[in-house]
Amino acid sequence: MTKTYRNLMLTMLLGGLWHGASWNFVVWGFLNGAYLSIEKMLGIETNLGAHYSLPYKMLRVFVTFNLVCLTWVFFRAASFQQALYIVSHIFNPVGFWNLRIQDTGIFASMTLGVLLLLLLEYAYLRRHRIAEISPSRNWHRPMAFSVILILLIVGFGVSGGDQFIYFQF
Amino acid sequence: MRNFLLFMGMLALLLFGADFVLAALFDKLYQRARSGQTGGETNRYLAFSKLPTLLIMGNSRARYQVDPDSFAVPTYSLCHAGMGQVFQTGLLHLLEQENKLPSTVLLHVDFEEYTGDDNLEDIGNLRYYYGKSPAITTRIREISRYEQLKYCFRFYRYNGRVISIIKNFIQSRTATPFSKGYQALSPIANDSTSFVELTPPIIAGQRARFQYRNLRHLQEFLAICRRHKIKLLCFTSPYFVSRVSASMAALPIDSMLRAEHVPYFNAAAHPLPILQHHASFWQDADHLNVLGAGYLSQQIAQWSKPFLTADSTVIAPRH
Repeated sequence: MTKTYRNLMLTMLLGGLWHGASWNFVVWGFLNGAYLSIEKMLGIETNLGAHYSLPYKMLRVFVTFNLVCLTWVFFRAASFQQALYIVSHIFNPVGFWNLRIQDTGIFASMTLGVLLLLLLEYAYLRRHRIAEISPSRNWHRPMAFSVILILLIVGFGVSGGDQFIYFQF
Repeated sequence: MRNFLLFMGMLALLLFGADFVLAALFDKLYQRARSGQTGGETNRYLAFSKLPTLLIMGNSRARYQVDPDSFAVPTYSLCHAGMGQVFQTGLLHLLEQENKLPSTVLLHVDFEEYTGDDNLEDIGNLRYYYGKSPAITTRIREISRYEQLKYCFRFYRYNGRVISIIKNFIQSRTATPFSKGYQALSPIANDSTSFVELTPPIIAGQRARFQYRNLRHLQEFLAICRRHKIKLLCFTSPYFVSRVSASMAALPIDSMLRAEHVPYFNAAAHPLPILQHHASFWQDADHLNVLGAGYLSQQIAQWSKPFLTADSTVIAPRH
């Protein structure tokens, strides 16, 4: 088992270092490796099967999401010092109660967009396979599907020249 | 093959029909919006029957930090957060086209724009005017070689702004717009420099470079003012923590504006001591809250007073 943990840590540390020559990425890799090792150590089952209760599943999702978000602070911070600053201030309750939304337009767009996508996924996409949504024998649905998809790309697609997130070299 | 061609033909027909309908719908929503920075505030200004004497233009550091009520003449703020000089110049072209030019403009010049890449994408916030304004259309086409293709879809003018436009339309009917366009940042009890300076440290031996090419948008702005004999005053904003970009960009900009006889107040080089010693006046390292904005507004209002009352135009005509 020790070898498993060692290999997990090595893989994630190297994976972190691959993203860029900065302590930020090393810490990001270290944290991910640590999470995986602890998960293995505690024997936590990774498949959330139907026999688990909904509250338990929600708790697992909540914990995993927040642990991963914590690693993203190191991934995206401009420097290691900045990452430490952010992490040390995340848990400041005074700062939390003083949060403000400076641009309600951006916040509204993000929130509505995410909600719509989640609704679409859980209400429809998870219950149907792509072959059912767009069957080959019937041209009406593929036609409608294509028109909607193209218009969604036209309306919401990002076509700017933003730098690729992995470009750190 | 025949079925495929029929399918594609039908798809194209439906697509362009839906595009036409969606674009027409969003045109109506956009035109009726009087709130929000995705066209609403511009629409509000364009609807004025009586124009202000002084128009403040610039990004968030003018929007949140300069109070129009501080000035002795009727003043309005048409600032847009996050928008660079290319946007301001596009906006001035639009005002020119709509005959809504003020007699005096107070323009915020942000040093950050001249030590980094040209933020040409900012003109995308005026996409609605693609095809309606030649100057804006030309600038949008400069973003990339494929930009013109995207506008084959009329609905593309609302790309990335669909939800904002709906929100602005609804807000126009329910919320009160900011008085004179000024958006004050209310101070919070523990307001201070709330996050670390984002500019990465300059590595020893490297130097930030002034991008002279980025000056073209400012020069175009000056040309419009010269053409219509608009008095132009320029200013920068202070920083809580001094920036490398500020010292790097100050001299070339100062030289250019002096050569054009444009009064220019560099608040970054001459910050009020009270602002430098009170972190509680700042929302973050770049933006003053309403308490600090009061001091800066007074400082700029006092500096601009002689120019606002002078008869002569500010920009010397080109020979």
